[in-house]
Amino acid sequence: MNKPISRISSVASFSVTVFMFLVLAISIITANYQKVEDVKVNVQGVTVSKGGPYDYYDKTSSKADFARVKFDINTDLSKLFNWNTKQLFIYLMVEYDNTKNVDNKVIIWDRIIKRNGRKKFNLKKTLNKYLFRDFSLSLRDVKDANLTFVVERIPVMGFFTSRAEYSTKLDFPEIKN
Amino acid sequence: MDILDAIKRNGVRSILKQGLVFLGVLTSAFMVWKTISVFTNCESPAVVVLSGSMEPAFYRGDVLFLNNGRSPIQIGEIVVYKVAGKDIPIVHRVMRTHTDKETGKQYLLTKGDNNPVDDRGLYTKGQLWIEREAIFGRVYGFIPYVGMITIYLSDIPQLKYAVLFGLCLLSLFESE
Repeated sequence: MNKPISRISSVASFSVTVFMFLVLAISIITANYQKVEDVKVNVQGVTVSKGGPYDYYDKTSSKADFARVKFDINTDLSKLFNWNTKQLFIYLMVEYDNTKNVDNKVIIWDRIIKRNGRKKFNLKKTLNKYLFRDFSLSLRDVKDANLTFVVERIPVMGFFTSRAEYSTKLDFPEIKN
Repeated sequence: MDILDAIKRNGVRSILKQGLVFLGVLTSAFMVWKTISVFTNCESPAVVVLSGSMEPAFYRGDVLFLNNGRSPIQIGEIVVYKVAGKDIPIVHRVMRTHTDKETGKQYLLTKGDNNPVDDRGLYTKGQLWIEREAIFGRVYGFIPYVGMITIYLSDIPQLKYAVLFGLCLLSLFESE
């Protein structure tokens, strides 16, 4: 029982157990649910046009409606970082209904905020980063569209938490065709 | 000759007993894994990240913990899915969801945070959307670096055999 090998093995198994409990404790203690106090998303306007850029995978692209959303974001996220926060993933999401009884959610813009990067920014007249179109070809019957600013906290180790921080209405223009 | 001496001294029973203990350890580990599987509704409740497409959130070798709850997939969630005909699971973020309110059927589009374009190039030819059935895990937590061991073991087969050989040797010497 007192052989070096059995000693090594008991020390190893004990330290693995301690390590696991430590990780669990740290991830519970440092879970970050803080609210972002200083955030403002201002929608400048939405325009819809027919026909997007050539898409190798999606051949319907030339016939579909594409929306362009122009917005300003003004926020300070530096308070969200604690010692167990690796980065933040922020994104703008549009939720909308249409007559087809389908619930649609689309991420139109995102950004990774690194620990030692810029955490306070003021973006003006930014356009959506990803193409914004419907599952069907048309964006004509869009109603109750909402733009939501979501922040996901990605820890060094532990659990992911994500929170909607700001929400605003999005007005689509009338489309006649 | 050590083993023969040991058999002479302790009889075959002690060796058999040791084999039994070893099997006990293996089966209990397997049971724990399967129990977690049942509670998370996920066939593999932890996976190791193999690619860099979600950097800087996940690097190669990080371990992700998964569940597979029945609730509809939310947008912005990081999911693990398999494409028909490809063995390697992919860990990416859901960028678009279109959910039918009556049937609950979901059409999802994914993208890696570090990739410039969405995943349509990774899907099977002609496939534009991922459906709920393709997703077998939703990421809820992670630990960095720990999975590097399994990556080394699968990348360098010699290392795997060396470890196995070492374990066998150890178990023989333990018998006294």
